[in-house]
Amino acid sequence: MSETKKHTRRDFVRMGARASIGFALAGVAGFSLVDLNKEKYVWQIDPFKCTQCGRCADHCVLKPSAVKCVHAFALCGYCDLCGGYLKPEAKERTTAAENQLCPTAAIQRKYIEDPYFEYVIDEALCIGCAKCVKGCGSFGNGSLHLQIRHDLCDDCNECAIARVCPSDAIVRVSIDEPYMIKGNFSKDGNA
Amino acid sequence: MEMRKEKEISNIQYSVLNDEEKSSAGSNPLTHSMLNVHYLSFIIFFFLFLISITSFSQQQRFPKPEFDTGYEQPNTTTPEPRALALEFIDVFILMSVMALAAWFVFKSRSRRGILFLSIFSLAYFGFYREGCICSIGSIQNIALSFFDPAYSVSLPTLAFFILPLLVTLFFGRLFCGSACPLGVIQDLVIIKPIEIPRWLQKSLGLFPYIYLGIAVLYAATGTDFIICRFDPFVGIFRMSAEFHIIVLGIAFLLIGLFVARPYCRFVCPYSVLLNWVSRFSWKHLSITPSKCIQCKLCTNSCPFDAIDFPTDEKLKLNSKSNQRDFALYALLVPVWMIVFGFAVSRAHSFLAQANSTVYLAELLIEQPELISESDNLDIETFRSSGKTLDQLVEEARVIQHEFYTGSWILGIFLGLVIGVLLMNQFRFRKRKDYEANKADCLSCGRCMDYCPVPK
Amino acid sequence: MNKRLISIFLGLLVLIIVVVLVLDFSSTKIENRNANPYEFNVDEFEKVDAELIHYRESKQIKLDAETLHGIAYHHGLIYLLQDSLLKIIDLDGHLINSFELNDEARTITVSKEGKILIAFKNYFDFYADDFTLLAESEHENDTSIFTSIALTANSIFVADAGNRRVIMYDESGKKTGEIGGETEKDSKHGFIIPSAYFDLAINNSGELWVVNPGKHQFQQYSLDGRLLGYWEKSSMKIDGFSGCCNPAHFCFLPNGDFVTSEKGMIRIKVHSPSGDLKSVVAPPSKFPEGIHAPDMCADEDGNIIALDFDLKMIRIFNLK
Ligand code: SF4
Ligand code: SF4
Ligand code: SF4
Ligand code: SF4
Repeated sequence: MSETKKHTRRDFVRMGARASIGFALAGVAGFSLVDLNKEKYVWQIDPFKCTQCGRCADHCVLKPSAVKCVHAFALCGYCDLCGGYLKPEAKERTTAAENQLCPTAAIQRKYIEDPYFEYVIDEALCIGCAKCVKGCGSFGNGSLHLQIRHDLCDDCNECAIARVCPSDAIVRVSIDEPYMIKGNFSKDGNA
Repeated sequence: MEMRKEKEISNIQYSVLNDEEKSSAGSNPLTHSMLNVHYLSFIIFFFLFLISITSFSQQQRFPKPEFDTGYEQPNTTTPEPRALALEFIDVFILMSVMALAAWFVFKSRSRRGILFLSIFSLAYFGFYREGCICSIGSIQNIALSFFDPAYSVSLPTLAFFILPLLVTLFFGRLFCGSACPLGVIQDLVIIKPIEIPRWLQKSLGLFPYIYLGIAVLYAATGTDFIICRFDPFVGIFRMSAEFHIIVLGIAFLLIGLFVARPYCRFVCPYSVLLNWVSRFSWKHLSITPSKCIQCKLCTNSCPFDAIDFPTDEKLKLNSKSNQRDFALYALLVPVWMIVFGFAVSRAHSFLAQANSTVYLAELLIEQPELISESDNLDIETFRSSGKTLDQLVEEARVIQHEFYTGSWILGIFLGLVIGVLLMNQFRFRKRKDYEANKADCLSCGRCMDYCPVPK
Repeated sequence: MNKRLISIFLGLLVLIIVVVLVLDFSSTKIENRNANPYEFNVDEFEKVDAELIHYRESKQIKLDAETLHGIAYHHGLIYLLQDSLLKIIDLDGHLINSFELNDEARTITVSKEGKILIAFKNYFDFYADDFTLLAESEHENDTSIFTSIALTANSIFVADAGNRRVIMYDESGKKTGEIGGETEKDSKHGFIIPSAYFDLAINNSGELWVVNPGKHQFQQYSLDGRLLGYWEKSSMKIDGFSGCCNPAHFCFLPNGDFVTSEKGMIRIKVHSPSGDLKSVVAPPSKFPEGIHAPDMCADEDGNIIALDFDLKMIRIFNLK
């Protein structure tokens, strides 16, 4: 007799506990649903914050890094004397390896017509070291800049580069606009 | 075009070049009203000006060079990220896996089914989806979204967090047995599980609580996602990671040869939640399909030491003093909470050092000469950011304060855990049969195969 | 396998795990983080031999402005275009006069006689020294971006960066001709202007000089538009001009030297009329990392008045 009573009491307690856990879970869900992110965040580099520290090359969980240099052609001057392509001490303005700034020779220089040259990044070679970005920003128009390439990026829950970026340049952006290509948006955020 | 001469008014309003003149203008009510009129025109001009600027910048920034050779300027490519819709498919697959697992555990009682299902999960969530996002890590997203108003979780992330817990509330830890890629990869390498002494099990079992607490603290303060950072298997899933993370993964797998699922049992922070929810699950895997015949065949079947044996009748004699101790320890729980809360709150500045802002601020306060001298990358970046030390210190102080509050809560939580653990030592529950421990059982189904009772 | 061995093995593995964690934590501590292995050190280029710097910054006048457009100097006064205003201030920063313009001005020049030229996107206004409007020019087309203006006794020259040419006007604002910058040797491309920087000026002896920024070149034209000569200095070092469109601005000293300012790595220098570097006015370290090269003008004594668009102030440099 007392045995069954005990049982029902225990069942009752269990029921209660179960219900409260249920409510707690519902609470967490409800709370999150209130300001649910309809889209989703992905990681991206704000080129205006980036200080070209070189960590993007080594700290991505992927080897080689999912960060690549991209070229905002609309800003490029198509210069012969390209600060992002040539070493400053380069003797000649040619494609010779010793003149190139990029450690992996990932930038292709193509003659278009006098005196214009087109610069294209070979993303298969680029390791995202930002050397050319620094060069282009210091001597040129700043058309070269780093971006996380979403066809490569694993979309880590926390980007491993964001953890070490000294300028907090790696930010969460909406999946709707997953890139911050220079020239398409400005420093103050308006188009 | 007309050019208005506005010497008087503008002399006052725009003499911002010169501070004394500006303040004298403020004290004169007459010029003030004139100023307002002037302001209006200024605002209108300003708007016209804004419009002209925006319409200008919407066109091409600057005409490109005129290429005579018909060269077309390429567009900067922007490969799309994985579509959000696919994420919902992940959620759907997660749900299906758990539904199937329920069927294998409760209806067909097939260890084989569970095994194949778990291998599928490993392949899909592990190697194909490369381990992100997982339910374990989602704890941090939820924590961050609660404390950072600028961050909010997306529906798939929330689903990954909530669904396994919900399923557990109904059917036990099906997620662990069949869906979790981290669990499955360890499950597959179990070859010679050894029995771990009870005391060691209990004390190592405390670690997930600490880990969970610290992970939530760090996520909530926006410091770090340590669960993701030290996820030992993600490097294996991706076949690419920093060297030491691979070492970590291999070490865990090697341990897993002898200690079954070491990460699940002694590290995983999500297991804390699953463990507690599972205790109150509505249904749970049972070793025997109908009635235990006390054959003891299943006793060694569980590699995780999760089978409770029938209680010794003799122990019951002690139950009076047991009850007293139980009551005493129950009363001690609040004491533990306060003591631990206090103790951990003392350590808050140590904990806060993991935050790079706090760390940098402390470093620079201690050695101010570094600001101008150091060629350290981070300090250099700080120097050229134009931020002052005061600003940095202020930011750090805010974060440190969050850590202070957070570490009190962390301490209280740990005190509660330890108090309840001690208290439970004296809890006595009578058991007549061999049963799976609801909290620790991972619903892998191994034991079911050992039970000779026919279905 | 015996149990002891297994325990030792396990103990070892646990130790490895702990070591890995500790190492990982300590290696991400700020002092232990790596320096940049891919560092591109431009500091060397930003460092300028102190011997070369012959100027000293003597004054800064802070401006409370949204945007700044241009600066000119005449007879002890600075003519400043800011927001939608023309302000006239003295060298101590006291406001002398201020006028509202009803368009966004882009550049200004003041002649020896005190006549004022203010250029807008595709037209300009011409004022007498008492600020009465003398003429308003014809409007050029929509792609025009006027970036610089200068005048001689009876003609006005405007640099139109948008269309890559110099336009000539008479005093009444009527267009009289264009200079495309083509030469016989290099007939395809005239002025190469990668971004909206295109400056011209007329020196004390009445010579018209135009920058060809894509070639780091100064070109001298006759007043009817014939190329008379040029000099160019292309180099990433201090002795020349680097980048895509430099020099971005220039003006003349009373003795005919060129004062140049560059964007990218911002610096102000003085070059002799033959192109040799004479001295450095302000090395890159004088400017925060910005993008805008300062606009400049010079007074009768050769002091250089620079308009810093990023710091929003006027900075005056005196010869040491
Ligand atoms: S880590 Fe940050 S600052 Fe460094 S290169 Fe990457 S984005 Fe730029
Ligand atoms: S210099 Fe570095 S960032 Fe630029 S293209 Fe080469 S590897 Fe990529
Ligand atoms: S999110 Fe992960 S994969 Fe993507 S850039 Fe960051 S570290 Fe690399
Ligand atoms: S089902 Fe539970 S009790 Fe049985 S072997 Fe698996 S974990 Fe152990």
